[in-house]
Amino acid sequence: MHTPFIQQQTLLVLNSGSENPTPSGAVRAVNDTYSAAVVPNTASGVPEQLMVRETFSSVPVVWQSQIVREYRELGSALQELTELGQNEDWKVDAPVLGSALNVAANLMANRYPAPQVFTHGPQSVVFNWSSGSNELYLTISADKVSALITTPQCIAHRVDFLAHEFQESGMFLSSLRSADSNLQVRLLTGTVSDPLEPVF
Amino acid sequence: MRGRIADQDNLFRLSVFPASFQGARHFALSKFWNFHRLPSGSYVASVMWQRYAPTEVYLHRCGCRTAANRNEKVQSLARRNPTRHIYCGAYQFTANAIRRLKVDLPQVNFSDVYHSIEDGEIAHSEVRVDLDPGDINPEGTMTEILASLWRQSAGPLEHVCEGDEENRPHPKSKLLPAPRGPYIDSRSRLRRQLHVLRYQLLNCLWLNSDSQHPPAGPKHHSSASFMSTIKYRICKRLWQCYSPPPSQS
Repeated sequence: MHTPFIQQQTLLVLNSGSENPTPSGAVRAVNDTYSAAVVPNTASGVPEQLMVRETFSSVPVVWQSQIVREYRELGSALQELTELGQNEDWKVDAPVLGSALNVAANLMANRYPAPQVFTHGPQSVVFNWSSGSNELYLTISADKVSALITTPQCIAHRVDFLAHEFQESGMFLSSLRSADSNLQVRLLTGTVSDPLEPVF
Repeated sequence: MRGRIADQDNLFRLSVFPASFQGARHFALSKFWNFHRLPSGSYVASVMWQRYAPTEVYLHRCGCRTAANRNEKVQSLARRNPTRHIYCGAYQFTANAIRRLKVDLPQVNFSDVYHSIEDGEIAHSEVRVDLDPGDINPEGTMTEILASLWRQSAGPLEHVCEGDEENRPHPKSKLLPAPRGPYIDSRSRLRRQLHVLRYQLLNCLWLNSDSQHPPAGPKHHSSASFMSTIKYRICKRLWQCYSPPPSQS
């Protein structure tokens, strides 16, 4: 659970060809989410996949360093879950840790923002992204991964995978992106003070 | 027999630091709910029923007592540098949110909430969830249960207990806003006062009853025993009022 996700994951992108904010101080803020490349941006007429790609190409160094730092912290958090000395009820089994690290590596390779992490107990680790009231959960056990998307109105979708499907082909991410055509994540643009949310 | 809670009744789940937080850093749903698995396979968790915690004041008193009891237990274990338990607040949802689990999730065989007094807390109620034994991914289902309850919750109702003011930053700052927004008590002032009156009457009768401090009493009291005690006390008082005075002869 991590609502301030938007603020932490936000990248500030300077206008093309400029290294400084515009005189008005307006900058374009971009929030890459787990399915940011799904929906054409009808407002601008530019496919969002292209927008995201262009955006990232303009600030690769910032993005890379940020994502590496976040995933380093995630790795430390996962490691801690196996070293909990006082409360064995919450200590994660080694195979679950291995599976979670593999999923994390794939997410990082695909430039997904680092998730928050929690556990149900020894047999699973849950990765969680929040955006306003919308949530994405990946429940990772030793041999399975379950993806769950919720909105305030309903449980929007749940998809269960075998862990090796994710590790072998990256099928997981593409399946997640197309899990439900009703789930649309739009890239929002605005000033820094605007709320930046993917809209499901 | 255990007490039935109406679908629309408000329930509150208390959040206590560090139990509700992952690594004492961020609020975590699984830690917040802390469903305990019974040998029977059922998952249970504690909540407070608004009927017997009729206002925020009474609810937060329950929370502060819960944290204080945990601190007492930790101190009795004489651990070095024990972590102090700090009550942070509560989240609201309805009994219906729990009962909907078995309707909305095919992997849930049973879900309900009952009034079940525990450790003298008369507002204490118990959530029980049974999963389908044939569920091939119970861990994923548990996430779905937590997510479902979370999206139907409101709050948090933050609170700082007496004696916790010096903890800065107070861990209540780590509580997340619930998807349904802040909790708004929609009862009229009159109804709220009536609920408080009812609570005080019942609580008074309960506290004065013999069953509150049995020699080796059970930790749990069913709602049926609670109400029978109340009825007994009422009858006893009425009998004392209406019975003729002993003869002076």
